[in-house]
Amino acid sequence: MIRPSAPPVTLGGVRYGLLRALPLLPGTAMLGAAVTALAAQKGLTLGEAVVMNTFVYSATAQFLAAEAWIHPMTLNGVVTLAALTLVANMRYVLVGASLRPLFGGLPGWQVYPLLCITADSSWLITIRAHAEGRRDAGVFAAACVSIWLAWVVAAVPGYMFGAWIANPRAVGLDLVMPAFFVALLVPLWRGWRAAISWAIAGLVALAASMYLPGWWFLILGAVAGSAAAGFVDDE
Amino acid sequence: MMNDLSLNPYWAIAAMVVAGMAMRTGGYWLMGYVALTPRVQRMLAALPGAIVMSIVIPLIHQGGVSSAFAIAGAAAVMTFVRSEFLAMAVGVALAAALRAVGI
Repeated sequence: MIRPSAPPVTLGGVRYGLLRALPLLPGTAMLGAAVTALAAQKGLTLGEAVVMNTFVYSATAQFLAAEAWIHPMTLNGVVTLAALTLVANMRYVLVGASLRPLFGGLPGWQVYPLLCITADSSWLITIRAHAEGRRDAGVFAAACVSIWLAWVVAAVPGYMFGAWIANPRAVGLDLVMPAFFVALLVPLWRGWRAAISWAIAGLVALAASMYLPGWWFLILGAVAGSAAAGFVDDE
Repeated sequence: MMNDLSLNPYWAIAAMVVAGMAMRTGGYWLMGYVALTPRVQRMLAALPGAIVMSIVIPLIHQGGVSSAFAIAGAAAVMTFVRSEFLAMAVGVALAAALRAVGI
């Protein structure tokens, strides 16, 4: 049986994690600011935007939430936002699973809080360090905390900027979310075969958007695309 | 109707936080008991692309020329520069520019 590893936390690891995270901090902060700027435009209060930014910590979920935000909030709204966040963050199941072999031997109270503030960038730093042979949880801790802090710090300035914009459509601000998502898509390209599931997602979502209310089109498209990928035997 | 009762918005945020944390901790926790099958892995891995397509396709359909160009511009920038922020900025700027000339 494979023993789960319990790597130490060393200062060297922390330093390495910080070094790897440093070049990513400005971009992280700018993206975080863009997210809260949109939140301001969509009617969230500063408090709501900051709390969401700090504890949800997901550009995808936060962008979707801003678009789906309603005021006053209703039970329908709560359920919609929770469902959107669930779907938007479901890929983190893979991220968490991939970290089990690395840190499974460590006590839960050390790992779970870090998992809650893991982003793709900090995850990648962690996985790469492990692949290079470093066995040090300090890398994970430092990368996650520093990148999360950059995100958190950007919330208020971003919100202020967003609140200041008088005519969002003229500035093209309504394109922030779709442009971001398209940018996310580009590195995910895996060839035409894998793109079949993408096409199915797009078509199902398009059809659903014409006949179903609210945000069902997104959930159905995502589920359809995901299911299609499950049944196309890849590689 | 029950569904129209006005709630404190922080309930929505709390629900989002719970959903997000469940996803972030769930994979790690589950792997302590059972490995994810290749099929499940494929499905989860396909989710980001599927979500993006589900947002972008309907949007291009409804959005008009400036939106379509903005999205194409963002994709192009990302392909060559690999910066999400820059891609976003270019997309937004393109939309603004096109709208300024009346498109």
